[in-house]
Amino acid sequence: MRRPVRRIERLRIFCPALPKQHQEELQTELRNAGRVFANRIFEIRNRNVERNRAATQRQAPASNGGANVQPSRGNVRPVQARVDYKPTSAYVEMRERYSQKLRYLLGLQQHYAASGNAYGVNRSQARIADLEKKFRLESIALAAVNQ
Amino acid sequence: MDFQVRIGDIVRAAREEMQNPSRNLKELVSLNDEVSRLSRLVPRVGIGGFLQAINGG
Repeated sequence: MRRPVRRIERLRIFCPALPKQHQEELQTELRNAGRVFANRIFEIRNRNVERNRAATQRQAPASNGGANVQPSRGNVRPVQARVDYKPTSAYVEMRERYSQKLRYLLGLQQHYAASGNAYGVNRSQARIADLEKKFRLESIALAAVNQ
Repeated sequence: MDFQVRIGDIVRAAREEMQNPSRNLKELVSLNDEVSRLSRLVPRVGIGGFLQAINGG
């Protein structure tokens, strides 16, 4: 069986590609559209992060440093704060480490969105999702150790 | 769907979104992915979308 790439190359002889100028016009249109979507994605994500941060601060009393609610994404229902819960120093350190990385990745995403690099935006989104997953797993592991 | 029609849809969606931001995050991510996919396809599309049609792109 022939490889599909060969087939494409063979057919290209009979079917010339779009003129360069036309290709460039299409690419420009797509780049502009991608920039609009990336900016909107960034705006929504930022707004969600801000909303979650505000919800966390509202729930957690200042006495325990606001440490009893884990960060989360999107629209979340506020979780009732547990007054008897004292976060361990290991948890606080871990949370700080992750929030530093998250800030860095959000900055990176903003940079890519501003420069219209849709691939970069997608990559940084994937890295943020990965980071949040790791944070959740590590929180569970830490909670299990502390029990 | 015809390649250039799809690009037209994307461009129209981007204009709508600029004038009236109403789409949710999931829709926007999906549109953004579609933009990346179409950008990669542009150099492979022959005149009239023939090459794209036979390759199922």
